[in-house]
Amino acid sequence: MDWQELVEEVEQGCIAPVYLFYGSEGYLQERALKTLKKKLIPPETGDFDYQELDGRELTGAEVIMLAATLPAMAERRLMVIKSPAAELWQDKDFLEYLTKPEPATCLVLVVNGSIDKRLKAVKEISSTGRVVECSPLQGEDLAAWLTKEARQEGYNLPPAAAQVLARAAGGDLRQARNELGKAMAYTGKPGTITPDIVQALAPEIEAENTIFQLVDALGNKKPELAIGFLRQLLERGEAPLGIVAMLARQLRLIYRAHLAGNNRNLAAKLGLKPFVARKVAAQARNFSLRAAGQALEELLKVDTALKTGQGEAGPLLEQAIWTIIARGEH
Amino acid sequence: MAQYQALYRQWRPRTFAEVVGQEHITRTLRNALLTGRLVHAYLFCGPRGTGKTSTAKILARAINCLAPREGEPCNECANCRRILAGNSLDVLEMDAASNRGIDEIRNLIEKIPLGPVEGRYKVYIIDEVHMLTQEAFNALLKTLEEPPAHAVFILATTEPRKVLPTILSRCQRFDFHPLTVKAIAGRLQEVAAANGVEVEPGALSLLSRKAAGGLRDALSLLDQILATGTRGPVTAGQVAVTLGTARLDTLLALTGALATGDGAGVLHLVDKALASGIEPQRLLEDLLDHTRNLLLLKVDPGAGSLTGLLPEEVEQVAAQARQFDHHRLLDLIERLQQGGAALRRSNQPRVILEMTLAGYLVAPGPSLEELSRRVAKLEARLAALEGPTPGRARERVAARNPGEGNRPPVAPGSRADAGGQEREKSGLLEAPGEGFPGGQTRVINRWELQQAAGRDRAGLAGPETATGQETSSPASPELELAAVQERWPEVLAAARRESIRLQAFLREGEPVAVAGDTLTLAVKADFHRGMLEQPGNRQKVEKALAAVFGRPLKVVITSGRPSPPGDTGDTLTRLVNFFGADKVEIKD
Repeated sequence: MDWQELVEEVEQGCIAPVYLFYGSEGYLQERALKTLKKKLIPPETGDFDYQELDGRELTGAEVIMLAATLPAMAERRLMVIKSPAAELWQDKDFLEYLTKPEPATCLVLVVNGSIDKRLKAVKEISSTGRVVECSPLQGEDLAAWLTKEARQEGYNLPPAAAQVLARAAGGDLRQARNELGKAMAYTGKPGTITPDIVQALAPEIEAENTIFQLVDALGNKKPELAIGFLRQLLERGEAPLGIVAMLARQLRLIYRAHLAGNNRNLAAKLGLKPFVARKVAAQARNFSLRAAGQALEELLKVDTALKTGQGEAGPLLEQAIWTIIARGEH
Repeated sequence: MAQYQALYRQWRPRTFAEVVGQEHITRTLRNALLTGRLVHAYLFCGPRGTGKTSTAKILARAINCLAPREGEPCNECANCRRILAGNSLDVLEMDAASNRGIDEIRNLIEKIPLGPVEGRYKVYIIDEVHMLTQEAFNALLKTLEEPPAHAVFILATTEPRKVLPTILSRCQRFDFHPLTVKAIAGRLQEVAAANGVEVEPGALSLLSRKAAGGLRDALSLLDQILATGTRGPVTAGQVAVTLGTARLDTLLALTGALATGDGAGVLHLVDKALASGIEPQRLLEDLLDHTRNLLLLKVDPGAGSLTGLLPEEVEQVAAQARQFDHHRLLDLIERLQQGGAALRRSNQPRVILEMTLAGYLVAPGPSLEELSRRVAKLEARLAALEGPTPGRARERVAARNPGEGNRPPVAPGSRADAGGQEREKSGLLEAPGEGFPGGQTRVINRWELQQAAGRDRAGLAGPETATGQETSSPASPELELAAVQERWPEVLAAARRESIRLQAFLREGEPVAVAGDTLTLAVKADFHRGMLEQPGNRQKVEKALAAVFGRPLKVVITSGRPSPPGDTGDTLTRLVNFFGADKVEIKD
């Protein structure tokens, strides 16, 4: 089962005596644990019936002994064992415990990474308890999750904004949640979070978009626009070498799009997400292979000049923009 | 005696509303306080003087304020006053730049379990957090992962890239933007008015632009100017003198003279500007910025908002931009850029400055890039007309030779030779600094000697001075090194048609000897030599040579230490004779 099903189940009050959380998304594991804790341990009893242990040095016998301890105040004890030792899975006593777990204890095993599902212990857990996967969410899934998270707090997060958020976090759930919290705080009272809000708050995304527009302006031979975007970037404190690198990346993609020709699988070929590939293909129409190559050459010059202290970033980059556009005219 | 407090400290914002130009952050924070969305860790990043520490302190007060108003701290209650005075037990401020070790962080963390004394939260402000050591970061991370409910961390840094990613993902990150010129000017106006000082709009604009996005810098500059204590309104001239920068009208006058080709005027204006205390370097930079604006306004007169100038100043600059051709402006930018680079390494900055400007006037016309592009285009057209047969290629060579010979020099004595462009330019610019140290022992390494030998022979190799090795192939007329060197740019252009990279590799090379159908190419850089020695590239080079000279030529690539048979020894003896034996030391 995945963690969302788990949360629903727990919220309904259905709690298994043994859980196994696995997967690389620590944030989801944390969230699932929090839900369990909230359900099982009343806040006023404090940490009496909650125990969190590092499993790397625990033997099967120790685990069983601890698991057999009865709760002091709460209805059930919650016992969390993080990264259990490999031997534990083979331990006979532990396997036996898994077949008949203590009903007054909720034992949670947390594994960061993958598990071998053929293990007997794992099979046992899935019959007497629950095996929960906590793997990172990507792309659309992440966006959908964010939308759901927002809805729970009464905010409306349209798909466009959710996608921007997901991109801003670069696939990191914790960061995505942080960004969402920021966007909700900015919006204030529950309402709709627009892509503009997200962009204003997430700097990387804003920079990436501006770079994109800059390349567009270069392709459309609009120096005044290109310079405007460049100055915006510099004014906001983007690192000049970072700008050069991002520009070069975009132009390289355009160059490669030309090399790939009229390929339907451009996205796969360039190793990009489909919508990014579509944008690259659209921009490639404004650059010939030659023009993209020349522009890259100009950027190389700027890079060298910056690194050898030939001048300031602003003038050098602007000069490159003018040269690229002037060349395109002839 | 009451001590004077610097303006930026007097005017440190005390509420979110007073923070200038960071609306996206202050609004988020205020709403977070109002709706209970406070998180346990904040990371404030942004350039200096944009309000990070000020906002952190406001947030600390707002969190613990007894009577907050709409998310703002009241600054009057007991808690606020204690925090303002810096003696609150609940707000701990730490400068990570001076407490960067693990012990300091441990010290801090040990006390975290203790709850707040007066307010609701314990607030830890860690400034310059990127200065923490790796160990200290990890110690902090553990606490950030599971913070007690009563702790709020506010980390501030100018360099978020140096903060561990694991820390980043635990914090709500806020990016402070550099302030716009308009925002700074507005605040300066306010401060000046409160101090009973009048500041001219031009002066305000200059000040705000020079502050480069940092309000603290702007206020410090204003402080500096007010300290001079002159009466009456502060003028742009005063500001320019205090900051040591050029005023806009100085720059306009200079570029005006450049536009009309008034050389005397330019030198005169430079003299005047330098006499008023502007550093040559500064003047050059200011001119460069100004020229960029000229070019921008030339293309789009409506782009004034990007320049940070006042509307009437934009008008002036745009008017002048009309006097220039945009190629010329680009040329000027290029020259100023190169001048700026040369100036940094020179001890005669003034000479470089004047030469850069004079160079622009002396060598009008299209730039080298422009010319080489045109030439390449013409060649392409010619090639298309003539077809690729070798016999015709030779005719083409013959036909083009005379034209090649009396091609008008672009800039007298300097920029004619594309192959030696780099050398020529740097020679032109660095000349004053690189005087020949007379009387001292001149260290000559063999490479230079060989170079000299090659050039020497090239010079001597008239039709009648065919030395032994050059008569080996009787079938075709002898190719001379001089001819090869002269037409090297053509080879480069031909190589460029093959691939740009090939041209780049070839640029590093220099033909140093021709023997029969073998051309010796000296390539200094290892990388380029390696690339040229690859069979594919070598073939392409030979193809390009064949196309230009109309005959097959073999290429021998050396590291710049070839052993051309013949007169190396001669040259050496002559050099020794010339300088005297005691002045020459041979280094290999």
